[in-house]
Amino acid sequence: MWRLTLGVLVAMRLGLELVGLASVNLTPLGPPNGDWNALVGASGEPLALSIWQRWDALWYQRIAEDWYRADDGTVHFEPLYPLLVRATSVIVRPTVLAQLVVTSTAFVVAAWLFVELSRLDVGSEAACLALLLVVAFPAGFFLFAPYTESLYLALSLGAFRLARADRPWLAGACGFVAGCTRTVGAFLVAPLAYSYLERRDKPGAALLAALGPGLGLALSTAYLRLSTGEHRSMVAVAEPWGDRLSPPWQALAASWEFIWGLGGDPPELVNFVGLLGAIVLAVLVTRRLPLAYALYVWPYLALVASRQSAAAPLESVARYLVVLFPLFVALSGLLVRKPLLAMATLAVSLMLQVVLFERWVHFGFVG
Amino acid sequence: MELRATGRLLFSFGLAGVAFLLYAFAAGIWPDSEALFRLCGCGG
Repeated sequence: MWRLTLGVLVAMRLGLELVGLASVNLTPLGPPNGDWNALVGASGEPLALSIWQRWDALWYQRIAEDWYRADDGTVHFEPLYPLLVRATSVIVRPTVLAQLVVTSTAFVVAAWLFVELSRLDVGSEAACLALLLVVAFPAGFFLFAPYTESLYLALSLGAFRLARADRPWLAGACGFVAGCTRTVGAFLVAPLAYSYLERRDKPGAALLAALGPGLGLALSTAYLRLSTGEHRSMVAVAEPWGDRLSPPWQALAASWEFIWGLGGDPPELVNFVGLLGAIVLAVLVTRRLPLAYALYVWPYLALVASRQSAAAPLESVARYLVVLFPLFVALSGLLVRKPLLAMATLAVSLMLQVVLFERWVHFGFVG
Repeated sequence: MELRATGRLLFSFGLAGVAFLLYAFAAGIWPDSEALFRLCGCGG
């Protein structure tokens, strides 16, 4: 299995690197966007590395280099990934290379756990297909970018795998660090608790371990606010991002109008279709996979579908879906006996990924 | 769904609710409820 995970990593790293380099050579970059533009290429990073210095990657680079401060929005980002990058950058320079090392290492662990966990439910063949589906997903390149996707995926898969092995304390500990990586880590509490309860007639103290993801999120947030002196609430800190909550149908309707108002916007179209597809797949997850997965998927989807962004209504939804691994397991269960359809799905997904990645490399906002 | 499974579900979501309360407190969302109302589009 290691051969598969390492093979996927090498193939995607090389493929994305080639696409990125070809893209910036064929179409020169315009003026960069984002809050930390001065960081792009500032340490003399070669083009092969600087094509990864985009959007949130720059926030994480900034945090890894100068750590958190009040009033500059950095506390909006959870601390585990920048902490690991900061530690790695002691021996690996420049910072963006340390980011890619952390991301790649996390991806290998995530991919191994993905196959290891999903083969328990759908068999080895479908588990491998599920891994290819998530990697080829249009927003799958975020698993290889200096973002938190791979690290969070590895930790959430680890929590589920340990819960499945009836190791509640370790599952809770894994969930704790997942909560220090992404806010949505808190959605692991209910599935971990359910996994524990369904294996016992009488719950014991280990049930409290299921609170681990929530504790991780709460403690890391408290640490960031107290250590920096950030007096604003996290809702106020997030206001510059322009998100607001609304019923899912309103977000979908606004997205539909946004797409056709612009004559078709590829990232938003992927977000829109991705969200609808995710809802359909979540029904499959509920019917065919262990219930703990449904307890994870539905609240996560509810939040993603209820959040409207100022720039584009469903902004970043496709990226948020990348870590929602049960959806890809359910999809692979559908496609595993239809090799032609599976190949076509992978091919179309990869083509869309190239389009979105090329756009992202050119400072277009994809997610 | 059997009663025991329903109980497990309710207990699991109850625990998740506790986790979100912990987070809301740590994130200062409670004292700053005005920002929360703005987020939901129902406040100035």
